[in-house]
Amino acid sequence: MSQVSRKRVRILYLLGWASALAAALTAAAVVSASYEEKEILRGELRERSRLRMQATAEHLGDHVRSTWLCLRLISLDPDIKKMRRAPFAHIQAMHRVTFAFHGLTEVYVTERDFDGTKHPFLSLFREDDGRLVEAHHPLQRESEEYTVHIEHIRRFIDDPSADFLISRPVQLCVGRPGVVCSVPIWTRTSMVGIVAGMVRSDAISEILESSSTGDEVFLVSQAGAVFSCQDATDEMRTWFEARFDPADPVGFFDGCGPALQAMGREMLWQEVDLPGSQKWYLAYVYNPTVHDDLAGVPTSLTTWSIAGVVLLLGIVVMRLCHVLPVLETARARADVHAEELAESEARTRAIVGTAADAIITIDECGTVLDFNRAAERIFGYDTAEVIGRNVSMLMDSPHKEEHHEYVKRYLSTGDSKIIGQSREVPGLRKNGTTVPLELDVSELDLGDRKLFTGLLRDVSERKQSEEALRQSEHRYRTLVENIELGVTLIDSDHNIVMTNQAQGRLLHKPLCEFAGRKCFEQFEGREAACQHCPGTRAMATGKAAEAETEGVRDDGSRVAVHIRAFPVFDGNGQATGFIEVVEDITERKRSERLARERQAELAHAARLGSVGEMAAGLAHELNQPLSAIVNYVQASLETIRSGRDCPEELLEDMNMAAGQAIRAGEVIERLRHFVGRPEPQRTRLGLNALVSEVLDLMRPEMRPYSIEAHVALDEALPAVEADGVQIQQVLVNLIKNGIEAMAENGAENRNLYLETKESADGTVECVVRDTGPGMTAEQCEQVFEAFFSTKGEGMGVGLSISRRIIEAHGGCLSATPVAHGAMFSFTLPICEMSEPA
Amino acid sequence: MISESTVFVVDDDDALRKSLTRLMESVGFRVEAFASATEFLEGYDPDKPGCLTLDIKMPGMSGLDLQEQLAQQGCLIPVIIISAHGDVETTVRAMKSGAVDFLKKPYKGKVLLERVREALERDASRRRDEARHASAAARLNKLTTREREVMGYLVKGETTKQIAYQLGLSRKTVDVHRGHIMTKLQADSVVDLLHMWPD
Repeated sequence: MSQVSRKRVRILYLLGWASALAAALTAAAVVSASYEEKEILRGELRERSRLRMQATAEHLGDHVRSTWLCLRLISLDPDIKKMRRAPFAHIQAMHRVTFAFHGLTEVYVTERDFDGTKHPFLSLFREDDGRLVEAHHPLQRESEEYTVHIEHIRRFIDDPSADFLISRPVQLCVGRPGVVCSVPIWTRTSMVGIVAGMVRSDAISEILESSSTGDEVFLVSQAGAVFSCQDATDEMRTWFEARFDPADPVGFFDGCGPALQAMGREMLWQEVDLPGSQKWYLAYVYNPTVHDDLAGVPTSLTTWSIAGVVLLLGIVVMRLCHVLPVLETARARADVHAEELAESEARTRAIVGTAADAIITIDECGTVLDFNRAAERIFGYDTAEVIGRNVSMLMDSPHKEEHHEYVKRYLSTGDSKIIGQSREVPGLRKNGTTVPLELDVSELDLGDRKLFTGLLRDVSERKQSEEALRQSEHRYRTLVENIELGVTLIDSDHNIVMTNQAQGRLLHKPLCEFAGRKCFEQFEGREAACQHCPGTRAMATGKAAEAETEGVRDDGSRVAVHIRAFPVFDGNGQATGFIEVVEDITERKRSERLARERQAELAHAARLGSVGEMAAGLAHELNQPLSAIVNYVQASLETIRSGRDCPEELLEDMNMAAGQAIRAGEVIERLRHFVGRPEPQRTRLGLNALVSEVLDLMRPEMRPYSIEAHVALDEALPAVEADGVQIQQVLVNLIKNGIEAMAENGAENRNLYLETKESADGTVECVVRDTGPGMTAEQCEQVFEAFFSTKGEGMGVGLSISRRIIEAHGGCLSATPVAHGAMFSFTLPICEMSEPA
Repeated sequence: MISESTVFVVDDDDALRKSLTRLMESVGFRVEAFASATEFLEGYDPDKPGCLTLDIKMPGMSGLDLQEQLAQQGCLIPVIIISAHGDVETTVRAMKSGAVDFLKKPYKGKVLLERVREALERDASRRRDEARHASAAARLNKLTTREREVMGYLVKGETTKQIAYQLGLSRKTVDVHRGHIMTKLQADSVVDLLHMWPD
């Protein structure tokens, strides 16, 4: 504009000086100059209208997009009947979500020119094999509309027999002009209803009004609906409705200039971006000659008087040259200000629109001006009961009494504790109960007075669920805090997120020392993650994992613990950490150890008993080498005494004697090993070696009965983890049993079979079979009871102890009747990661 | 005489058997060793002079069983029982079957050798007596019935006069018979006759 102004000023300057120098020649020039000035003023007027129009179009778009529509749901599904009022964005979202599942592109109700008359219509558009199928149905009355809806929904879902549950229309938009939006609601397989909403034409008129200052403003839809502001004249409106061509709106707007000019009007127009498939146009009609008297001159005056006037005008124009730029600047500032106001109002409306359910508008005195349907639902009052009364009736003490003061203070000081920020307030219902509400207050400044709009949302459900959540959290916290198990949440990098008191007590540390530290540092005093970490396994497998280890306290003392780790997942199923539940098993370990020791003592006593029973055999076993030694030594003595010179004989005899001494020593060592009282200890060992050793120990028992031992040992037998002496004891018991069973047999049928082999189930098995009289199935179980004996001698505790020993090793000892004799077998778990022993 | 005898050793324990063999050989005895009673029975010749050392506890036939079987067969070889435990029952049984000795392990080597030597001597002497009795019996068979009758009275210590009176013979006839008896039996006196008379 500054460019234009400077040019204009320059022209005016020239004119001024020219009129002063050559008055006679100015008459024609004056006429020309006054015409040009008129044009400039009209241009300014047009520019001003254009700015207003742009602001209005924007405002209108914002309003329709963000405002709360009167939503109506026509539902086939009784569950969706209670569709609440929702902003346009909600409808659009529903449309986006459901669009892919249905062929309907649009359903809306509008007025249409049909057969020369205007009626409300239900228009349905549907895509069918790529073609757009359109259907229009007149809707004269509510009942009619309802029936038509049912019919057409039925037709659209291609099931004429379907039985519908369709809610009654609650509020109709039919017959009233407005911007209508609607969308069918589909599940994946069928349409469940139609949601339609509209912004009523009076609301649109208000917006049009707000930006019009004497101009006539029209909003025209492609379908032919015309909305106008209050200043619009009937003449203009009639003209519009009669001339507008929905088929070619652009052509209409471009071509209507001459017709309007004849009526002394000019028009500006632009397309408005409103939601929906229709196009909308905003038109500003104004009188371009309204300022012409500022520049116009009478033509009946004489040339001289014209010249004089021109001279005067010249002076005036020169003055104007100084004033005009200032004026223009001021005007531009005012335009910008109006634009900002319009924008701000749009913004406020947007905030109000999206903030809450119930909307209550009050004036400066607190009188309720507007009380919507949602507010009725919340407070239990009908709108009529509240409108015109003071809003404090909806409040509980102390707000009830104080509210007036709040408003007064705000109006005088501008200091508010509520405007622009949400807060929770108790609302007082008609029935006297209170309800927690979230309140947003926005202010509408109308210049001379102010309105306040409160948006309220019932948050009692949210409060309840918050309370439930708080209680649930409290319960879990109490549980975790009081449980005698250490509970720790650890992230995937082994950082402790949270732990409980029990874990602190376990490690003698205050809780504050755990959070954020590495679990392996704090729990086991390590510098890197533990090899056995059950958490790592739990995260890798997605299942709970366990481990037994020792916790290390700061003072170096240790505590035996059992850890169970559970993985923790995020929303995507990704393990983000784990929970460790830690149990102090010191006591359990101690009682396990005691039990082991008691069992070892019992076993030892039983071994002493066995040895007692074997005394005769053992004496023989020892006497053999001793006697042999005596013989060799005596032989040597005799040789020496005889005086014969034969050192080779002596040497051989002495060697033989030494060999027999070693043999005797071995017998004693075996015996000592067997009856000694070693600490119960498990080592990795081979079962075959045990079998061979026990067989040596038992040979003297077998020899008198001429029992033949048949041994089949699996050379590739995996190692077991066991207490060697105790397993030998079991073998002694089983072999002794077999020997005694066969003692009654004839000498030709005394065979003892010993076999070791690997079983399929991760165990090694040892089988001892005799060819004695055998046992019944019943006896096979009884023999393991203490003090049961089928033999005349012995305590009958050997097998019972043997079974306890094997079971303590995690194995199983059983007896099976076989065709000729009895078979005992025991299993032992294979020692993990073992090589053939 | 002993040097011709054999010590028979029966023991299932190799070491013991070998050591016994060595012990017996060291004092110059001839030794035959067997690992079991059965082997011994198969290889034993009762005519061989000697003695038997026997272990009681053996697989198969035990020492006592063997001893009893030998006794039943009339085999009089002296038996020395060597046992690890000398319980009364076993000892009695062994002695009833004619064991000459019962040694409990461990024993003194010297004692064993003495017992073996005694057993061998006893066997030798028994065999000597048996031989003597056998030759006397052969000579007795050469006598006539009247001569045996006369000899019966002679060993009873009766005089010629008493014999003649009891047999109704003349003193002269009895003296002739007596002369024949002494000649046939190669006896010098009535005392010699007594030794030959089989009870």
